[in-house]
Amino acid sequence: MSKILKAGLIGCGSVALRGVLPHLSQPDAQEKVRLVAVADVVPERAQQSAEKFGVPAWFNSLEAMLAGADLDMVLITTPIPLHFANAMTAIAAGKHVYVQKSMTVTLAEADALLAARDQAGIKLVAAPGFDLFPITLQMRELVQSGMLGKVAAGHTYAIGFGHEFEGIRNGEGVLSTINPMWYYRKGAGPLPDVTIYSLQLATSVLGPVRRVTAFANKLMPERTWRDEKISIEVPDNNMVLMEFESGALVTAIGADCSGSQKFAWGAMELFGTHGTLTVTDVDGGTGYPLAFEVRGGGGWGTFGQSVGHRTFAEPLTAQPYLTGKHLELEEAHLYCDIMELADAILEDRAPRAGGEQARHIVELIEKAHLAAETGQAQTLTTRF
Amino acid sequence: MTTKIKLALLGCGDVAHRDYLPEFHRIAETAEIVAVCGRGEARAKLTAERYGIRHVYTDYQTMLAETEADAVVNLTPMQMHYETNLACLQAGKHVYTEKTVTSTAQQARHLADEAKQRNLTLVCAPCIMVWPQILLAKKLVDEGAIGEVHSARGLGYGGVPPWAGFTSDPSPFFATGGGPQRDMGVYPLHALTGILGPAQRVTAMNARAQASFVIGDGPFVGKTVPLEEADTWLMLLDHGHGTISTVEANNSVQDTKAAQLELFGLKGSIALNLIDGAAPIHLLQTSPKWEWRDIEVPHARAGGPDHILGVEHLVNCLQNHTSPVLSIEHATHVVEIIEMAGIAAAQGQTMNMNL
Repeated sequence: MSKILKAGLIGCGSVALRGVLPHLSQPDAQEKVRLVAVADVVPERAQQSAEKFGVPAWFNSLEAMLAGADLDMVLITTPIPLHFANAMTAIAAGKHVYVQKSMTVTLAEADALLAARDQAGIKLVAAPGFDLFPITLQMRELVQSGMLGKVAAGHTYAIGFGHEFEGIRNGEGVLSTINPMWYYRKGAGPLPDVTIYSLQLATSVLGPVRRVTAFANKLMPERTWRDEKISIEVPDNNMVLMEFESGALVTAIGADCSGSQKFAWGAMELFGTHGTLTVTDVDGGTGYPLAFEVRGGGGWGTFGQSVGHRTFAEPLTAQPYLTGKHLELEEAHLYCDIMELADAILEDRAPRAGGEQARHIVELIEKAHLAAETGQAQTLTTRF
Repeated sequence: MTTKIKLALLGCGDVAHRDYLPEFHRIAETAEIVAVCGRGEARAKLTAERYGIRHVYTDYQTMLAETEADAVVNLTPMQMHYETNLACLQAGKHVYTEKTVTSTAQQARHLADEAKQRNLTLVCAPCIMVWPQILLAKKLVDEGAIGEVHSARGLGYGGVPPWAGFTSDPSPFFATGGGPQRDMGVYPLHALTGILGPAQRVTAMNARAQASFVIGDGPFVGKTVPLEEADTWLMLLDHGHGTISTVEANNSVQDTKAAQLELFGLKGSIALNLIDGAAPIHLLQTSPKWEWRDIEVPHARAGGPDHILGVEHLVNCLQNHTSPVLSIEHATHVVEIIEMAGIAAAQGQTMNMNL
């Protein structure tokens, strides 16, 4: 009989309340993972989250939870600048770790985290795990097969809303008034928050990035949430140019502001010498690419027309964990990440969506910021 | 009745026959082509016969010496633009030139001086800033339809090898002094600097996806064309006043579902096709509710880039004694952006523009 893994969650905020807690409350999830404790620095939030979702214990800090609950894994859904410290504390206590995106703020932190992981012999999954959805793998295979010829260029956009407009931040009571202002402070901004989806998808399909340069600006420098006003500390609009190890040049745009692109949010196009790949459908809830097409893949007819046209599509249920109620709940990709961690633990194997790609993305983001500040293109040292 | 402006057509290749001559009738009340010059005599004669042009030349110096034309429409290969534009100005002719006006900013500034000294009008393609879809987009932005715009992107692509549908040798588009920046990148570069203001800083990356290609059909089928300029470019522009944009220009894109120009405002976006004047504009407004709609653009040409509007602009400027919107200053700025992008890409360093 398979062991049921015991999980503790730190950070009862937006993705926990809308995503992780509802998903882990489902009977099928509980056959593999039982959420036995939650923690939050706001005691009322921890308590009400536990009560709402039937979690037996709640705590005021990660340390208290580690001391007071018997856990196999820790789920980290705190604000990004806290991820590193939380993960190191969990690893020091010998727990397996799921960490939300982005894994850390700096490359130095990511190196330390992966070293601690290896030292402790625990398993780590870092969001967003695009490799867990089959379309990602199909795109990678297609590119590697040479169907597009040499991938010369690409672009990908994630231009969206500011978090302060979300429903979970504008309700009543401690579970519906989650403060979004940390998104606009140091260590945050759109790069590790929304653009990261595009960067993760592009690297999952094309491989690692060699060099990066970027510009950034502030589209809405003043943000208001309820009574609080903030002058944003980091840019809310980033334009990133990436030179991939493969030679492809890709543009990524990410913004925490309204006024979106005509393209599907989080979608991507790759331009090869023999054809174009366009992601045509992205699931709004998970960010998973659901469909793509290839046009060209051979010669070129009259200007503006392509020769050959193929479409590829998978429903969300192509992800084995997305069945039944899980298809109706939000942030389902986090559930898939957590289940991947559970399976990796139970099967004693390396998890997919492990820390190496996440570390590469951390370095990419850190160096994109540096490039924007200094005007100098930056070379990346990590690969995956 | 106003006298018609007399035009000499310099170059009768594919661009002349595809984009200019078939549309010329639309400005025939205010202009007439009195001379045509082409390197190949047969083609020049054929052009003259088909379009009722009185004088035929195969040498442009001779044409400039003899013609009564007021202005020259310069549709020569890009690499010849500086030399021929200079000769036209020095012969006392006004000029409409295809893009890019010159290969270097220094050459462009020289032409500007020559035109100014001689009190001549110099109109530079691309004439995107007089195209109806751009004028409409600009109007929507100015009216506040999408709120303030501090972020935008553009894409110029095409001319993808193997070549199809062309009857002239396409090599100049890919030779030194050509390349995707000068051929197609100029469209988004002109549009973005025209709408958002001049660029103050530029950075870029470039790469070479292919070393050469083989022409797929037409009279030059089988010819190997080397790609002497990098065929893949990504650029970032800082327009100052808190506004940035990104431009992609390459010979690598066979097709795309992305818009060729997008303006991101705080209250919505505009997405449009830069080249095809018949395509509608897509407008997103985020309040009262998130809604995309298409806006038809009144257009005179059935499809494709309406280049004759650039010649019409020259004619109007000459008849009304006005300065062109499609100015040598704007064209020089874009040529300089392209130069600076090359340096930025080579050095990995953001470059300041000379303004």
